[in-house]
Amino acid sequence: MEVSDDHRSWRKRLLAFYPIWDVRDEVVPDDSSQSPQEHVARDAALARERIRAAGPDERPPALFRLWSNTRCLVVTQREERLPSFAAAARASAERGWPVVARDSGGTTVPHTPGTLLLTLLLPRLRAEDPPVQEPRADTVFTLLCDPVIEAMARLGVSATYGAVPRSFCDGRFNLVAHNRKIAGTAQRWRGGLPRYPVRDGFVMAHLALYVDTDMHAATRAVNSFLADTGSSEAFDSGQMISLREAMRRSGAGDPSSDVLRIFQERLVEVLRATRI
Amino acid sequence: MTDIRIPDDLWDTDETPEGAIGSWLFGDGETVEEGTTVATVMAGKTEYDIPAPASGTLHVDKDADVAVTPGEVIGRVA
Repeated sequence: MEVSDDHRSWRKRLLAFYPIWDVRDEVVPDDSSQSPQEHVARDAALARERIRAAGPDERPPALFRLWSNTRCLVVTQREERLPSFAAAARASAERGWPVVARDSGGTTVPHTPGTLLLTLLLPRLRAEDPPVQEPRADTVFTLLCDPVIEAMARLGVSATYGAVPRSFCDGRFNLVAHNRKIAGTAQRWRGGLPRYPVRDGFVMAHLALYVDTDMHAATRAVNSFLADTGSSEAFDSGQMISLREAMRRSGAGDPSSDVLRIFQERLVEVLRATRI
Repeated sequence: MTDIRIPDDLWDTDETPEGAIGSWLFGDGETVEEGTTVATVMAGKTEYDIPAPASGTLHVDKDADVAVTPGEVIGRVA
């Protein structure tokens, strides 16, 4: 999928609208000092904290948060309402995949210690802000994903946008390498409708990049959970690829290296350079 | 009576023909205040808040998980 010039134009306007773009690296692989739910809930807590901390005349900075989680399945609040959700979640936890709900778009996704998570937090337009229109969600997805594509390119892996049928949580703004899904995305607009000033609203855009993840085990965990909820959906792990495997297929990098740490460093470099 | 309408331009229907009601945060017949988020709508993989356009009693016309398109009325405030 090609990203249109319109999105590129919006991207520039958005970058200019937020004078500060912070980067917070909170990646601690397999950090069990917090529960998976606490790791997930931190995005919204951080957004609210930063909006509160901004003075009356200050626009809160945009923030890229890099983070990681322990092994779990992240589901939407919509899926949480399924009649057999509680029993399905218990069974998944017994299989070693606890289930946590997140107030966001998309469908069930796995998090593992080898999954790099990136969240873009954008404070929403306020009544006192100049009357610039907010962009569409597609533009926010490109702001989230373009740095990841660039960081992968620096490791020798070429990625594009696109849907990958039969991959879990499929969507147009997946990242795709070697014709397989390597990262998925979702987005949540809090506080009111786009292009209307809101009070204390923010956009959360999420990306999960499967850096060093056993995609067969992760897909099996999603399929088992969904089957237990009564869903007939089942996904194909052959439609997924980890960054480690993509690097191997691209003839890039040392397969014995700590791919997660190396990619994390590249991504931080790219994110810190995010400017017009 | 004020309609709760999904804005015409909330998403690009060329790319995503329809969305779905994610959830209602208030029940049918409950009192809501103007500007309060009363529902969420999901289109593609993005979920949006839908605010009450007025204060009053909420009437739900489209249940959670029902497919919707931009411009549609999903409820009313009386």
